[in-house]
Amino acid sequence: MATTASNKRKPNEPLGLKGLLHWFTPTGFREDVLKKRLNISENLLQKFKQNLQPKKKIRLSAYIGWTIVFVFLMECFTGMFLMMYYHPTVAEAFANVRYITNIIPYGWLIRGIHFWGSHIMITLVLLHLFHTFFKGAYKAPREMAWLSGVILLFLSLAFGLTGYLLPWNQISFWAVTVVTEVPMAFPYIGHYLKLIARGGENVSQVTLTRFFAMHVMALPALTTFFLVLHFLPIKKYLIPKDLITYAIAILFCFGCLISLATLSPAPIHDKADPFHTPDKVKAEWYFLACQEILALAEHLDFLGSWAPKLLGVIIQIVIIILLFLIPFIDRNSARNPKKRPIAITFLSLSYVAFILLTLMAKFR
Amino acid sequence: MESGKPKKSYLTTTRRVFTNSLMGGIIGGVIGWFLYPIFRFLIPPKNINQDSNIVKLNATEIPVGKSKIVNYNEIPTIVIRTNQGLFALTAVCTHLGCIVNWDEVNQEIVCPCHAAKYDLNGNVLSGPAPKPLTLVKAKIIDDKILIGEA
Repeated sequence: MATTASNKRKPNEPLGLKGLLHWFTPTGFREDVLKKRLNISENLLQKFKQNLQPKKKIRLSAYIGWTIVFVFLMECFTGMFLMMYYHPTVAEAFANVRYITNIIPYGWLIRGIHFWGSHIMITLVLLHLFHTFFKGAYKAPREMAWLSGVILLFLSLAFGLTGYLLPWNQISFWAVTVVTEVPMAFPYIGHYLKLIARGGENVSQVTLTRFFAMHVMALPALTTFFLVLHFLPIKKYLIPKDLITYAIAILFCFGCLISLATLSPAPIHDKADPFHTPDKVKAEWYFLACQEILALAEHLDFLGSWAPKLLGVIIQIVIIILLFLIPFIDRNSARNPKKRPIAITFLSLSYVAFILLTLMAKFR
Repeated sequence: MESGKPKKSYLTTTRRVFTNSLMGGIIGGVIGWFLYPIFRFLIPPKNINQDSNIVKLNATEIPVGKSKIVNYNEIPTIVIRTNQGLFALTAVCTHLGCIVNWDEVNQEIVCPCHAAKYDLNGNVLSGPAPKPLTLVKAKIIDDKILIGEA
């Protein structure tokens, strides 16, 4: 039996300062802190140690998934710092963002990481969705992982939309004005939906406060909840099989964030002017496909003046419902992409359509 | 450590100690490299717009013998007008940070918290204040009092 300082001691014996110092040695940390106090089993520690060694086979989906969690944490972290200087008021918001970017030491870096983090997060979520579909990982019994994953995609988009307004510049103000005007397509309830989104007839101080509250309180809480729900069906993968590769993936992502923040700083634009609309109002790239569907639906005006906007919105709602129902529509139990030609064709066409619509809106 | 085994000495594991120290140094450096921007971000810079730092008051706002507390560079500053001239000093007591008052009768600056007393040049006359108050440049031009300008 080993006679280390920790083993000599009785279980409930007070540690004393010497015992505390022992925590900072490798043995003390392992025996006293991890095993005795945090109740981590020897098996789990061994598994962790084995997973530190690089493996030949790399599971791409696990790295994308965990990298998304890392980017989400980075967004929380940088967002917390930005909140220290940001006041969500019409009078101050724009000046605060300019102050953070131009005056505060490394403010440009923190804001740049937050700005690019949102883009990278949505890109990775879309990649993760693609990969999950490709591998058939949404099939039984993983339906809950798929459903929560789709909800997380929409939460990421909601983060993008609510965060977009916060700098209170011309581009963000008018993009949000256009997006919050979309619910007006619905007869009867459209006006109420717009009032709920904006907190009034126009985008104003109330909208800014609403979006800020959603961005920093409601959405992070909901995202955390659905992340837990997302992980429960796949909890055996919670410790990545190959920690070193995972660490490299995260470092690579972090490097990308810093490089983008440095080489292409987050823009400031002009202060929002509610009495002057810029020439071309465009949403962020991840909303461009939706914008283009609405624009293409304009050709349906031969059906009546009500048709273009309403049908444009209904098409998008149908796409969203289909996305949720995929695990229940696809009843083929095979996961191998080669044995699912229809599903893979559908996936490829969907992504091609998304990219095409985005490009069409971009160059319109 | 079991008895009977030779006592481990760091002198006999020089290469391990060296490698560990090197790794520790590199990891520490990387952590420092990450933490430095955060540390700098948390400390807001001083106001760099010098022109806006000058506080302008009408001379009638401070009659001779009276004083006024103004905000100069985000620091409460006491402006005192006496027969000897115009004086401006930081109004934050160097003892525990209370805002000082001008005692017109005794012609001295007094802290209401622990009765530290200063003269018109900020020097400590009595009380617990460890350091004098800092003088701020001030002058009267025509009927304007300018604080922050020589």
